Amino acid sequence: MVEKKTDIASNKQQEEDECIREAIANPDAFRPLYEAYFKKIYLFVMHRVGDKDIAGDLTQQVFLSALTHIGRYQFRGFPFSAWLFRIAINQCNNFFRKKKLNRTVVLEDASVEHLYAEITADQTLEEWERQLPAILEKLEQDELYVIELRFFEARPFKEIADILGITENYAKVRTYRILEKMKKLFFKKT
Amino acid sequence: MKNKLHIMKNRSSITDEEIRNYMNFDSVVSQYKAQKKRGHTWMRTTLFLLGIAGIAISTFVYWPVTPASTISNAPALEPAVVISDSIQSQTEPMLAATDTMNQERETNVYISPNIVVSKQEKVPPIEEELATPSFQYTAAEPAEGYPNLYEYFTREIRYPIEALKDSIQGIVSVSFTIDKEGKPAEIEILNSLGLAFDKEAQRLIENMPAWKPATLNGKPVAAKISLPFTFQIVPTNPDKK
Repeated sequence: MVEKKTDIASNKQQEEDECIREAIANPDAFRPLYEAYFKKIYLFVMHRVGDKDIAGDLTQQVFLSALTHIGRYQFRGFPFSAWLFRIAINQCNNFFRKKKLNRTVVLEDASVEHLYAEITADQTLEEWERQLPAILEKLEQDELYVIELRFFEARPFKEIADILGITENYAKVRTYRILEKMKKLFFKKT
Repeated sequence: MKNKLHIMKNRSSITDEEIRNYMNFDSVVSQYKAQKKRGHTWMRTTLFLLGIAGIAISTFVYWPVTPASTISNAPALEPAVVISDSIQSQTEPMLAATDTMNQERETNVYISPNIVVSKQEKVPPIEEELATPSFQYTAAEPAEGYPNLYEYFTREIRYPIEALKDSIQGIVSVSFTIDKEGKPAEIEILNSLGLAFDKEAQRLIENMPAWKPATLNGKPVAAKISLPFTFQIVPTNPDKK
């Protein structure tokens, strides 16, 4: 069963690699990749810009940028989707910088509780819920991405590492450090 | 305040149909082709301008050289070049040496020190070198060679036991200067993993064997070095994964 799964994954990888190679010379060969990843990238962008139409435009830009630089993508052990997410992060950051708009964070109750469990504070959950937006605003841009990817979107460390271009171990260290920082900010305020 | 955020309590619902409406692959391809076309035109214009600039520069350079060759019998000229009495910095090709040496310790901790960068930083005044502006630079290196230094790191490095419960792993980058006597100074932690790790890295650098200082035209000069120390935990039984 496990072998079968690995086979499917490696077949998919081979098909993707072929599309990428072909797309360097013929942009139409990029279509299967566009169709496979559009929804994922759209939702990722959408949850950060908070507007459906803007997310649509930015996602088109992500794929245009990917197609333009497809020759630079080389398989280095992380999936093609991670490369697209990286481009999406850059597109979002450029967008916020140029338009001077506020970044959106989707903060569902489950995410708040998940983070509260990690902080293990003496204070109540309600207090944490009240403080969290201000604490998130104090984080650096890339720190906020780590917290979002890990605790709000429940992505595995491996995927976070691939998206941010760091090692899995470092992604763990990074998360641990950011949680410590959030803890300190929380205790300072209460 | 770093980033002003707009907090949404719930994900806005969007159907697959709506997302599909935003999909337009043909538009991506046509934008790509238009971009490529623009790129080619731009490249042609740049090449043309570079060509013109090249011709202009070669004419300009050739011009003053020709009359100069006719004044060999003229009275000795005062040096017209004024050179400041010190050169602030000079970058040398980076010396890169890597090594991976791992050794299992009693505490079941696996540590691998890698040495990566050596870069010269401070250069003393060199007025007397004006006649020959070429510099002879040799990078700083451990007196007994890099293999011995790695051996020292592998032998001496200790994983801080108090960090074991949090399973902290990662890299501590340390930068320091090898002074003219070959001794480390100005130790600075570039990437910290926590106080215990920083102290350990600092201890290793302070107690390491002597270095041969970097030299510029045979004179010792201070040089800046950066070393990353990798702290990694591995299971007791390597077969058990």
